[in-house]
Amino acid sequence: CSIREAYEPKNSSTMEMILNSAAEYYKKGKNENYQSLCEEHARLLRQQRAMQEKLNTSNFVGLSVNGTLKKLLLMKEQKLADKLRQEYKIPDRRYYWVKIATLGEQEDWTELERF
Amino acid sequence: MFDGGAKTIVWDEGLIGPVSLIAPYNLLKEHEVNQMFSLSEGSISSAASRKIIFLTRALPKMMDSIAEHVHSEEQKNHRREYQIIFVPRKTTLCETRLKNRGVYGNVKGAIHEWACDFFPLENDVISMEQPLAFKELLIDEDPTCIYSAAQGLSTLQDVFGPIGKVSCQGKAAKHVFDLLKRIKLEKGAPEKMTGIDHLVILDRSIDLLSPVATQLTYEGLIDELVGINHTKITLPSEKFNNGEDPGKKTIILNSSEELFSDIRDKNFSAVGDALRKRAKTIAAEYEARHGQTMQQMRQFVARLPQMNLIKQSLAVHTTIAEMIKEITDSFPFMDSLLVEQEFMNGIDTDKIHPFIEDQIGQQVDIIKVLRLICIQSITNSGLKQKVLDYYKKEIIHVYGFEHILSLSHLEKAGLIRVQQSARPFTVLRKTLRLVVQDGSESNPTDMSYVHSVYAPLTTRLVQHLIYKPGGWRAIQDVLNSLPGPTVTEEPFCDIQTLDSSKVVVVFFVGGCTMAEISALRFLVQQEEAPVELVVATTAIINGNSFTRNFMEVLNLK
Repeated sequence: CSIREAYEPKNSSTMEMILNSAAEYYKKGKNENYQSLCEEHARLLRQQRAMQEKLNTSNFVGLSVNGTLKKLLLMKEQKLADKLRQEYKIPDRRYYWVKIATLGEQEDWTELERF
Repeated sequence: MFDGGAKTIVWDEGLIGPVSLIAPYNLLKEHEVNQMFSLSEGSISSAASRKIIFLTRALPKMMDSIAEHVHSEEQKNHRREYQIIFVPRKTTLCETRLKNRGVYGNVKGAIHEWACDFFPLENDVISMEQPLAFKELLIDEDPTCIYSAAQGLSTLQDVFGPIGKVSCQGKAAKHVFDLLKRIKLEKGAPEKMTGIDHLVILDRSIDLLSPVATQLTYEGLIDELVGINHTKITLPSEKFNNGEDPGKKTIILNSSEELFSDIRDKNFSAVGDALRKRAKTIAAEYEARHGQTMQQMRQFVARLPQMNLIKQSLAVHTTIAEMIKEITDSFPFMDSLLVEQEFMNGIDTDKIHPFIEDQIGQQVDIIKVLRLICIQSITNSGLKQKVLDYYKKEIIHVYGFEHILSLSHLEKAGLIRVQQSARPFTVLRKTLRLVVQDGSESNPTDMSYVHSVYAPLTTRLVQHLIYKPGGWRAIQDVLNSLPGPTVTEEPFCDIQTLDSSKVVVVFFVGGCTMAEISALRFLVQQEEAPVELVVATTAIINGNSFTRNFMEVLNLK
């Protein structure tokens, strides 16, 4: 399986290529769901790199969608977080769990109260 | 193979546990084994004896380690005699590997096989101790375990006598049976007249719900929450001696302990009572010693060692039971059990379940989440495309993209799938009475007590086969709706059936749970006709180990 390969080299640009080829395989196998999941992850990797440049930090790449969201919230990048939430259609329920967890971690009790 | 002077054993770590069931360390010591190493770590150059025995499974990886050990010894100019013992048998692949690594010459003529396919876990349980068998069969499409199983069953015939008739259900089960027939053609039938009356071979894939459902028997819960490895459990020892002595305490669980064999198959809610009752009788016996005659006194003293033993095991099991109770009384456990039982009753199985959503949102252990999703999928005979896709997306978003592999494995194994038009599970639940509501937990009348509401499908099938009029022929429709071919009571060897007691062997290809074993024991005790039951399995599994085997281990650096 090519996804296994994707995890061997830890360079995210080759990972994207492999993901795309995996998506291609899934397309041939008429497995649309897995295909779109692969494509989505490739997109996420691109965005994570963009975020790294923009926010001037490292280690976004490789996080899950939730991990990315949490990190953005921790950095108080509400706008980017909202964008991510919209783009990946994160359900409200899950968004609130993440939000609560981050506020708890930051010990921002007043905000948590308001929320 | 074990004679002739002092020797050193180098172990394949995967074999240490299983072999210790047959040959504990002191037995090996008697045979002049004076040092033991493991293959993967350290060097054997400190070994004092000349003879080195490698005890290994036939895995290429292990051959590489052996080669390394031999090479490093050569370099140091140590003179050694090497022996390799393959368990259960050697493969050409491994021999070639040894040749390629240039050590075949060193061990040529000293390669042996120890055809031990089954390891005894209990008087009535034998296991191949191959926990990965089910995954290897379905995901890697590697049928090694089928071959070993057939060989093992054939050996079983040599020891206990021929098999009278065979029934099986499922593709892998049929394969085992076909292979067994071939071995019989090659070897000829064993000559004894009495033996195993009935062999039942069941493929794990006919019943995927039992392994993922939470087990509620005492032994099953210990396995789920602590993990039983080759009949042993390891617990932090400070629980047992009032906070002193940190470290680990290893406890062996088997029927040689009278108390444990009494409570192991009980539903956990009945264990507390049983323990209390035992404690009372023991206390009463101690009390009764006052005002006795000399003779009674002598009897009492004779019984003292035994009573002390019971007292000790009472203390151990009370501690274990307390530890388990702490978990089973906690909200997360209760809530998730409640949802599980709703699913089994067919409530809310067809939509995205808010409890599972919340669990994902809180990032609880992914195994727990996957188990619940599997239960929902099975009880609903597959999930709607939309629901399944939603769960998949949620899991990948929260737990990381690498779980796409775990998900596709679970799908390949049939644990999660898209709903087809037919709903076989609802039919099965009714015709086989898989869900029994009024089962009393402390004084059960039906085997469904092992999961509190659900009776394992596999054991129900055994019940129908052995005890119900008409056997499997009466429920042919049901069997047809299960995956794979069916074989019903095909005669295998000529044997004399004894009236006194029948011997039935139930073999699970792909592993069985403690709860299933308990259910079978319960079945045999309940019915009138005397049946001696032996459970054989590729491994003892539980929901956690079963689900974890499908997870891909990626080297994330």
